[in-house]
Amino acid sequence: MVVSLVLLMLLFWWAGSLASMLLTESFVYSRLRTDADSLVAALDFPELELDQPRLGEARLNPAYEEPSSGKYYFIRLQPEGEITSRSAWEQTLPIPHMAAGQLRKVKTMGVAGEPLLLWLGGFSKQGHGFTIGIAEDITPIEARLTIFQWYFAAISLLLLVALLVVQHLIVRRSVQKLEAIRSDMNKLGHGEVMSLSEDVPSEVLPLVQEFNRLLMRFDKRLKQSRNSVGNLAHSLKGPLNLLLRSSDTAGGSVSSKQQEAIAQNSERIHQLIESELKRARLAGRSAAGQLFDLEEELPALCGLLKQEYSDKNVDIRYNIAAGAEVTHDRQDMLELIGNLLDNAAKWANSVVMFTVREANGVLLDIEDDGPGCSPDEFVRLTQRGVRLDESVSGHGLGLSIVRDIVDTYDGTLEFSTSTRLGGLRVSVFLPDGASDPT
Amino acid sequence: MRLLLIEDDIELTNYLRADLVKAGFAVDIADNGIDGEFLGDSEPYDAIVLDLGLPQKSGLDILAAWRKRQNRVPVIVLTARDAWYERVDGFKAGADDYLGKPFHIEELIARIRALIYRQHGKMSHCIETATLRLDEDVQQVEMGDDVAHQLTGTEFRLLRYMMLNNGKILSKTNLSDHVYDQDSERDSNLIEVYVRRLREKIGNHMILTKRGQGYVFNDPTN
Repeated sequence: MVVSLVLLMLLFWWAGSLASMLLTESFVYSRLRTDADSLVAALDFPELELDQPRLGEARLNPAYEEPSSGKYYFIRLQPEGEITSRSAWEQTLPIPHMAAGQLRKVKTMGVAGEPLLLWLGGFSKQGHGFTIGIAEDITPIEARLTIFQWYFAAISLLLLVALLVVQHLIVRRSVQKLEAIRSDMNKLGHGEVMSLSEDVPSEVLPLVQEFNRLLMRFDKRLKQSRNSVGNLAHSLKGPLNLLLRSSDTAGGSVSSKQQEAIAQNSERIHQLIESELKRARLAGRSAAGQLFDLEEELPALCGLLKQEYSDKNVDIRYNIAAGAEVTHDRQDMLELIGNLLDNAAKWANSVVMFTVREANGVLLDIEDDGPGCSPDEFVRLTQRGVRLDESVSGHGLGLSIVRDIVDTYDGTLEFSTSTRLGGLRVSVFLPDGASDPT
Repeated sequence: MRLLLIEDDIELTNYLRADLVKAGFAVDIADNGIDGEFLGDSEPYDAIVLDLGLPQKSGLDILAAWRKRQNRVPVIVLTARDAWYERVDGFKAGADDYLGKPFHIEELIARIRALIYRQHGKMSHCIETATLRLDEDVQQVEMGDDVAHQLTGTEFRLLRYMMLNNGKILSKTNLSDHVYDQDSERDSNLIEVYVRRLREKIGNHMILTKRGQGYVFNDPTN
């Protein structure tokens, strides 16, 4: 970029210099030609063949009369003879014979090596042919030209620097707008905004608009699928509720064994629907839905659990370490934390502790002072593929969906004994969503 | 005890109403959000069973609107989507309890009772005063000396309401508001009739008449 600009400026400088030089030369030549015309007018040929032609009063620059003034003329007569200006004493410029009407411009050198511009022209007057050579030393002009070229170079350089600065500013401004898009995308990853700002340079606007359209479509699709899953649940549960109720009150029309079978299977269908629907409802880490806000949701969640276990008087304490935040889907996180806290509250004697810490992601610890589990049970709880609701009685339904959520978020789930409270300790690690968008 | 059931599934509503009436509640029904919200504001219900997915106005909006108007009536939220975010949203809107569908009717009844007890500051799981104990499952009142009287539906509802409001003056209007649903014939003489019948069963001294004001249930050994 910069090199091309420098080359362009060099070309500009070169063209400018050349143009100024050519212009000067053509100016000098035209002046020389005017002088030549004056000479022709002043040249007078006598009637007699033997007499030398004379130069009459010519209105010429006095410099032609000063020796070595830098302005010279030579008139070469045909067939022989020469008239030269007084200034041209030491100059010996070869003047060729030229036919009348011929013109030539020559750049040559004087006797002291000074650069000369020589204008040559063939003429014919009163039947005599002659050639006029008229020359000017261009040393002073060239000196001035050099000064001019230096100035020109300096101005070109200044212009180049100014151009570079302006270009830099323009590029930086456009990139700053792109920087805004980048930070917008970052915010999007953290769920702070729902779409990218469209206040961007017009060059990238279509890209941003397309991206926003995609986001909206994705968000809509997520909402649609969640809604349809919810509606399916709703429509299935109505009849199931009636079925449950009929099995409760069937009375004498069916045997008690049949009644029990109906009740058991209804209950099983209910649980299957429940767990599958919950799984289907998971948004996962790439979702662009509403995000979880610890400070807002935890008090409500704890209040809810205290209400639920009001006859037990469980103290649910939570502690959010500074800088810790859960940047994931609200519904998923409420399902995860709700189930874990509910489980802990169910088994606790009086205290449940919930800690949130930051560790390249988020670390959730739920501890209770309940009976806890034996190491054997920890192993069973951590086994993959084991349906927890079937394998461990007591740690019911909830842990199965907890496992699904943790898996969806590429996290880890560990069970141990709480050193502080003596009961079960469940540790969940969820990696940062924004850093690895899969 | 008078309940409002706001639920749009007609079949479920019919079953629930029958079961709840059998369990000794006066039950009003609303099958859409607008009617439900209005009834909840205008009638003195002891508890409301509120479905979340309602036509015209969602259960959460109704609940939030009631709470905004300082209507603190106990509310049990029913929902098909047994998800935690819904429970949290329900709690934020001011729900007192939550039940996911499908449920056993016993579960609902137990929760309604628990909610009403809690509302009246009772932590125990049955209604009793110093000498009387009310068995809600069989709707009979047990006296101290192994004597039990079976109660009719209205007698049971009346006595339960009086025992829960032990020591408070209860006007006839107040009593009929909490004993009858909105479709029942209301005649203040009926309350007098039922009070007389209750006195015959549990003794005259238990229910005092405050002339011009109403009745006070007063277990004298309390």
